[in-house]
Amino acid sequence: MKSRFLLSYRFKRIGAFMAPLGFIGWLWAQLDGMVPVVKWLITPKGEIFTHHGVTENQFWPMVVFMIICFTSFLLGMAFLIFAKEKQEDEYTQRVRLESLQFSAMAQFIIVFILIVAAIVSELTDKNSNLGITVFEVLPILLILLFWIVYFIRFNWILHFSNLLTKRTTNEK
Amino acid sequence: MKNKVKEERLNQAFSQTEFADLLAVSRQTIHAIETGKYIPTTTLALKIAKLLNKKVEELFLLEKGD
Repeated sequence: MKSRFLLSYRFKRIGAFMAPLGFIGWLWAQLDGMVPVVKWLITPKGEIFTHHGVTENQFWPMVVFMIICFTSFLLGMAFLIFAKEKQEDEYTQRVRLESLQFSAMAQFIIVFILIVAAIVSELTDKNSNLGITVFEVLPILLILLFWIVYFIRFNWILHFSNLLTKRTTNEK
Repeated sequence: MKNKVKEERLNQAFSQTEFADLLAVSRQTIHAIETGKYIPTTTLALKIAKLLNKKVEELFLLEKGD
């Protein structure tokens, strides 16, 4: 990946805040953490449908919150992935390229296993929903899986080698 | 390919940080080169040789199978 296509190192710090906060917020909302907040914010207007005592009309703050959190998570991940390292050099670029290759291979293997598992499950158990579930989540899975594997692999190699370097320097 | 970068660097009393700064690369890069995990490009190999006052072939040695 050419370094001129990458964001400045500053974005890495921004991403390091945005991604985990967005993910935690989204998870919290998914686990009905916002229900008491919504109850407190809005007075009931109608009882069309209830979910933990919250009417359908009151769901929009939850949906808006979830969208903001998930967008924050995605943007944060993009910043973490596309930001330059503090010192971007030829070794960093090679690790970046290898991580992309590794990620592509990992994605292929995982998707292949999922598809085979879905087909086997559909053939052996007629009540199974695995096939439908796999194909429903496949598009988002393909995108997230690729970038998350890339992020973990790239940072693991650089961070791990950084720890070793520190140890070697101390030994000297 | 093996190399004598660490040996020569220590002979000339450079720390990894100083050495990396003089070459404008990260310490991870120097560590990766010294441990043989990474073979530098010709440009970086020439810079290393120049900094250590050695010839490139004195620092980087081919092994069987290379």
